[in-house]
Order: sequence, then C-alpha cells, then structure tokens
Amino acid sequence: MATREAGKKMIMLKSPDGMEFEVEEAVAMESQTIRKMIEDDCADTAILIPNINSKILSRVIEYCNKHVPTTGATGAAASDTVAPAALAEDLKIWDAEFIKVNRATRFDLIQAASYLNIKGLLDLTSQTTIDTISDNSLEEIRSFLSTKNDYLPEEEQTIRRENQWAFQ
Amino acid sequence: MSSPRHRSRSSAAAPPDDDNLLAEILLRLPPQPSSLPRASAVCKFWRSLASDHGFSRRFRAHHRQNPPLLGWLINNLYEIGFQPTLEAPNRVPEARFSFPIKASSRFWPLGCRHGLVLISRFLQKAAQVKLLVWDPITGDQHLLDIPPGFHSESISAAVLRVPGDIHHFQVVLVGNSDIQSTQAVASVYSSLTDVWDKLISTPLPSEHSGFPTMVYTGMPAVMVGGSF
Repeated sequence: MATREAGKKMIMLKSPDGMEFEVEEAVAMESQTIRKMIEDDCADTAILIPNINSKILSRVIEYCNKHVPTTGATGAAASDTVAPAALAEDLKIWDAEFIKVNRATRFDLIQAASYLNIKGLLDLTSQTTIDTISDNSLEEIRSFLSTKNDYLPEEEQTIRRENQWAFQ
Repeated sequence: MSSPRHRSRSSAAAPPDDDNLLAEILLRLPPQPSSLPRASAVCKFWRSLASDHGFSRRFRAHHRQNPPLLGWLINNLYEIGFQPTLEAPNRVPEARFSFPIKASSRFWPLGCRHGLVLISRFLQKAAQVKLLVWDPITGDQHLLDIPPGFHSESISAAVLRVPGDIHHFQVVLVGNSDIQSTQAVASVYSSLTDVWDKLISTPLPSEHSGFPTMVYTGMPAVMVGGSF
C-alpha cells in the first residue's frame, strides 16, 4: 500500500460499491483515462470509477503502484542503485505473479485496463489470455472464452478447407 | 480508436464481449501464419475480424518487431516461386503467393525488403521498362514509370517501407544518366505522394580502360547506414 509522504499529492478513487482508495496522484495517472481527467481539471479530489468493483480496483492500484516510475515502489532496494535491466527483470517476475488469477478476475482486469487505458496492464492481461489459449483446440478456445460456435457444420468445413494447411 | 467509454459493461465473470476489447486480445495471437485462419474457424465474428483489413494492418503493426520468416522467393527465370521454410501448420503453400507476371514476359527481380518485392519488367507493347512493387501477402501491385533522366537499361533499385509506417513504401533508384553516361543519377519515389523526387546527379569516376563506368545491374542493391 502506498504510504502518504510529505509533498506527494494524493487523490481518492471511489469504486461503485462504495469503497475509497487514497492513492498518490502519480500512481493514479498511470491510467491515461484518469490522467486526462486530472489534466483537464475535471477531477475533484475524489474520482468515481464506474463499472470497476473494489476488488478489481484494488488490484489495478496495486499494479499501478508497482509500475509507476521514480517512486521507489520496488521494496527495500532504492531504485536509483538498481540497474534498469534488473528492475525490468524484477517487474517481469512481479507481473507473472500478479497475473496468477482465475479466469473471471483476468477478464475483469482486461476490462478495467481497457476502460482506464493502462497499456502495460492491458498488454499483460491480454497476452496472458492469448498464451493460455493459443495452443488449444478450437473447442477449448470456444469454451475458455464462452464463445458460441455459430457455424453450420458444413460452413465450418468450408472454412477449414479454404486454408487447410493451417489446420494440419 | 475506441474511446474508453465505448460500451463498457459491468459483466461479472463473463469474458469481454466488447468487440474492440476482443480485437485487442486477438491482436496478440502469435504472428505465425496459421493464427488468423484458425481463429476464423472459431465463430463468425472472429472470422469477420480476421479478414478485416484494418485488423490485419493492426496485427502486422503489433508484430512488426518479430515477424516470422515464411520462406524464400526463388527466381527460376520464368517466374519467382515461393519456397516455404516453416513446419506445419505454419507451412504456407507455394500457391499462396501467385507471381503477378506471365511466364512469357521479360522481368528482372531487383530485390526484396520489408515484405515487398521490387521487379524491373519490360513491357513489350510499350517497349518500356517499368518497375513493379509487389506485396506477396496482400497481392497489391504498383507499376511505376522510370522517371526521365535514367538510361533504362542501366538501373539498380531498392524498395523499403517508410520507417514507422506500414502503409507506404519508397523506391530508391540509381542509374546512369540517359544524356551523359559519365553521370550517375538517383531519385526516390514515395507512394505517399506518388512522385519521384528531384533527380540527383554526380559525376562517375573515369576509367582508364576507356569504357564508361556503368551502374551494375546484376545483383540486388545493398542499403547502408540508417536506411533499414
């Protein structure tokens, strides 16, 4: 959790289920949507984030907190003494742990990342989803994404025949 | 671009059914050639997405840093043939890229770069040499006139994509001047403006043998410096 430090501007993010999160403005501005609200002066000290419940919003804040540059949010080590490559490696390991969530949470995180326009989080959540399904059969992909097969059997056969090589 | 407010839904555990969001996820399918044909078989919406030109462009742009090597183009004198190098299911069949020039025509490949092929071809009827830029993936063809000032049998050229822009290309043409063979001339074509730049010329070093120095047309052009 972010701690209040002297001189750091804090803002309040509110989820629709009534929870409030006090975060550093720099952390909140990892979201381009929130950044725009702040820069356009549309934001009061509290910003209501619609559609994102407190459980997901707290995970999103956790992500932004870790990824915000120059805050020394990397734990005990002072960030200016750690080589950039080591920092990047540390973030990669942290991301891999962060995204170990169930399917429903991951989908919610994708929607939140898209709405809040946080590119890194959208990359992480979408790429993990694709990595999960890309080696699967069509049936498994449909089941994972709850996608209905709306082809007639003969239509599906035609599509497979068009690019038969891709199904070998 | 999609606005963050675009049909944002408060679905609890369902996968994203926002079309833009699904496109965002599918963009990250591996760049291997079987990815989009396989995705097309999942459902009708995925098919419409995979065959959408806008999506294809975004897909290529997303994977610009790590495109797969599909195979080789081989000049067998009658046509340029495709030889796939990947294993199934990513082995794109040879017939996928149909060579755009009839076997009876005279042509000479000048080089390939950034997914484009540049061919010099002789048009019998017009008795003219023209440059053909061919994109084997999309099948797009652009036929360019050689600009005035070039001796059309003594040219060398290279094609390249404009850095950071996957829609447009440039052709760099060098050759001997058609007026004064001791001069080398060069010009750059841009598909964005559809014009050849002003001709640049420079004197060629004179040969002791008494023969003029000619632009060598027998091998593909090499580009140096920050041109890649």
